[in-house]
Amino acid sequence: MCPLFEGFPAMIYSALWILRTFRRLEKVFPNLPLKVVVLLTDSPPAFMVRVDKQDFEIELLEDIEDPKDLDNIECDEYLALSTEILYKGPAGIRDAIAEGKVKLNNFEILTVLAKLLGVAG
Amino acid sequence: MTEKMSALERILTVLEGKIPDRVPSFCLGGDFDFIDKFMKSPFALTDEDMKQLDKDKVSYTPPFMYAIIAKFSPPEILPGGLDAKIDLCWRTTGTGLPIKLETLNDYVINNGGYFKVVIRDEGIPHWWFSGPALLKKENIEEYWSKANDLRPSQDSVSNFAKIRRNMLKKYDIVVSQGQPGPFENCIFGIGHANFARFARKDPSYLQQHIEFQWETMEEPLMKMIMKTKPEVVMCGDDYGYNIGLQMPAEHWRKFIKPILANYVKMAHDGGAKFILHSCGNLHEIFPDFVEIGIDGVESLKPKNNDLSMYREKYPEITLVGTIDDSEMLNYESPESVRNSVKKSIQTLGKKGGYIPGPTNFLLDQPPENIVALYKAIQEFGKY
Repeated sequence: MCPLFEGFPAMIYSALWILRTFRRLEKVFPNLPLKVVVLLTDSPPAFMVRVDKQDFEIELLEDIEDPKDLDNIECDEYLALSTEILYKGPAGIRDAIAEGKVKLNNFEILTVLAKLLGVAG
Repeated sequence: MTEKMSALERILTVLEGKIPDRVPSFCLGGDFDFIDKFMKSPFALTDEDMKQLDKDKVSYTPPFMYAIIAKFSPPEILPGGLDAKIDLCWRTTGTGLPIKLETLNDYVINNGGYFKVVIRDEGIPHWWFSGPALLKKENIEEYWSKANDLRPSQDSVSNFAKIRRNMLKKYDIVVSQGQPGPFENCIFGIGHANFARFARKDPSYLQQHIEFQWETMEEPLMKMIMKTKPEVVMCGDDYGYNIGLQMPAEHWRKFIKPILANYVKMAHDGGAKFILHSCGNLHEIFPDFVEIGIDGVESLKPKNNDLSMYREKYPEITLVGTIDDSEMLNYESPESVRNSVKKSIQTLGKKGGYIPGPTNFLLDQPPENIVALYKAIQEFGKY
């Protein structure tokens, strides 16, 4: 048996799995479809999350290991940050954004992430 | 059917050693595999159920899966309910975000262990502890230096307390709130081998680690939990394996019992009952549970424990769980489950002191067996 995902992509997958199983994707994300990319800079590669009304998909983007590569990806929102910043929680992420340590193209991705991490407990 | 007692009255009556209106029921929770099976079964939550659960802000998250536990409600509480009521469930409170240890160049959770999230190849998530991280003294001592990062947050405790009150008010389900116990916090961090080695060769070092975890994480978290005035506190601390304890009883008494006694005292001082979840064969330390005033012990797989002897010899302690989750609930028929519950209630629940339920988290048991279990408690649990 070979796991499909481990680590942070697996955490995001778990949250989406719960929402899909209980048919809650549309309720939690009213503006579907959604296509976001997340890169943990110390744990590449990036991964893309596609969410539609009834289903979702996660794809590892094997070639995307550097935040500067995110500008070339077609997606609604992207985010690149280190695991250390992620584990500091919402306040720590806000501070890191102010210090220029987080790359993102749309603040809405923080809401998406907060919703998913809230579901994942 | 209108019941004579609320779930809270029923649970407290049993834990006080008195006889309630009927035998109450318990569910520890359930993991992703069970949720997957349940939601593909004829018992699955409907859109109507979920509308009500959303309105009442009931969580779907495993392993505590309140939404599925609520589905077992009678129709007067949830119109699409299965009428196989669960009276008591559980929620442990975590203590914060992972911390980075430079000596490991890796992240650990608050007890010093690794926690892994994987998605298995068939697409079902799996979360669990994957091993101890603090294998060397340099790791343990760096962990001690992170005391400020390990302190629990009142926000998460308060949030869980809101959910607990909501489940009681809207669904008549008691949520026992708690945290991991001192043995699990210790061995998930330093490992069984280090526990055994330090207990023999360097007991003061082991004592220092256990006291560090008590003072930094466990005592502050108990204080926060007690501030929210829970009715029942339940802590998870697995001491046993199939035929005995995971450590010599003398080590349990020396290192673990005093801290566990602190948990019980804090719960009682705050007006709550205390239940211990502990897997495996516990017969050696059952008298100690009586001595420190534990109100109920949960899990108690019948294959590993002489439950009739416990009932006879330790009437002070309510037996919780006892319905074999790993074999009987997995492999036998609903009719067999029904008969087994009937027999358990006749043997263990004649004079109160019994809250049956699966001995552990529901993993991959057939949902029809779980429904049969709770229906049988209703059917045979009348006094």
